[in-house]
Amino acid sequence: MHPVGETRQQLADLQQKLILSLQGKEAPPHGFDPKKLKAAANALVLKRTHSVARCWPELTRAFGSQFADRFAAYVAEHPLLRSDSPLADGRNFAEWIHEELPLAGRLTTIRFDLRFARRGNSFVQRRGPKLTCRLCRREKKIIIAFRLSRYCEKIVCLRTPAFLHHFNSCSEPER
Amino acid sequence: MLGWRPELALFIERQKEIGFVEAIVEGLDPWGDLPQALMNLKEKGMTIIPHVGGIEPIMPERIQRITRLAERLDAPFVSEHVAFVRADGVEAGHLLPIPRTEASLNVVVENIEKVKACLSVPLALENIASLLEWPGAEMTETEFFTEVLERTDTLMLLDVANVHANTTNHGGDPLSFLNRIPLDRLAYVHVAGGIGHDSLYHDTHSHPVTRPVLDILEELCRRVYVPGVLLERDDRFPTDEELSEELASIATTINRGNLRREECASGR
Repeated sequence: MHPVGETRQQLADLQQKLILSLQGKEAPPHGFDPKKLKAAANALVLKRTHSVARCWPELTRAFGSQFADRFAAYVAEHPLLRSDSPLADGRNFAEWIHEELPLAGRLTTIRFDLRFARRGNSFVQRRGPKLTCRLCRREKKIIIAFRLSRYCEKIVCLRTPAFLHHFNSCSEPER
Repeated sequence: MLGWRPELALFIERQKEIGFVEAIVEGLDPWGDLPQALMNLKEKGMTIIPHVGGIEPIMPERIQRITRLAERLDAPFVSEHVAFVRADGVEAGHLLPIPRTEASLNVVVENIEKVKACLSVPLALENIASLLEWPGAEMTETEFFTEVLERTDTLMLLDVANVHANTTNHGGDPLSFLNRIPLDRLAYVHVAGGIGHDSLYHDTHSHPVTRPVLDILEELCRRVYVPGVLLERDDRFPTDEELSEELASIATTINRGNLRREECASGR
């Protein structure tokens, strides 16, 4: 192998080891300052948290002071993917924490799902119509949302009859 | 001069004199619709510099993205960080420093030369702030940065906030830093704000620019003519008034440094 090629792989291995150690997945390469390593790891989580908070203000508000901790727990289980924009990262967080989502958080994710469709690991803007319906057992509400075009969207939130709460909620997001 | 962000688009559009802006490449689709606000600036004749993340192994798709954006924006050059953001498919989510060894230097130089070969405009390389330092460094930060610039014959984008961050967190003197880098390669400068926390300085881009950073900027302007200075603000966006005041403070600092340089040159 070309000498730079051998070094290139060694460098990639070392750099990968550093990233994984910052994510808490493995021990760091030998010789790093532990205090600075911890500060750098925390800074990465904070950066990701702030990026998502900027794109998803209603989702952030829905969790209030709990948002940072809940998002940090999600980050620990979900390394960032190359295709992850902060918008996608926030939507994936909402999916992960779906059962705990307050109503305001569910409404904001439904609004997002009217406009964006999942394609593999990322999201693309929808072009056509979309109809979705979610039953929120905890809040005893049913949310009906439809989109005809980017200029015509409607979300309706209705109180549900008691008998409907005997069925499982439509808790899985639309694909 | 301000980094273009969607949140700052209206502020930038309203300014009579902004000079130039930077656009982050990762947030743009080179083959699709670019933000209308950005295209409006281009139509008005504003200079837009595509700004890239880290230096990576050669990937044709990435080079095509950069070259296509540079063409669409009529950019005079492209800027990139001396850093890595991913390795073997694992994402860091932020800029991380490259080990300062001769072996790494060779890899970095090869990567940059491959990018340069595809670009029809010059490339400017930026120093980063990092809370971490790799053990076993064979050279100092200024030595590594200078070697990268000289071996690849590229321009320099000097981030004075990062100079402050790294000398604060790892030791060293910012003025010595300025004396040891090839200022004749300077294309433009970044400034940004940050905060101290737990005895470390964090280059957050989310807080006002601090006095020590402005002092380094003034010392830089005392040493060399600076073609342009760009403020980076990525979060916790201030009011228009606060932003205007901060830009005015930066302009005052530049003027002061220029005056001192001219006085030195004329022997006064």
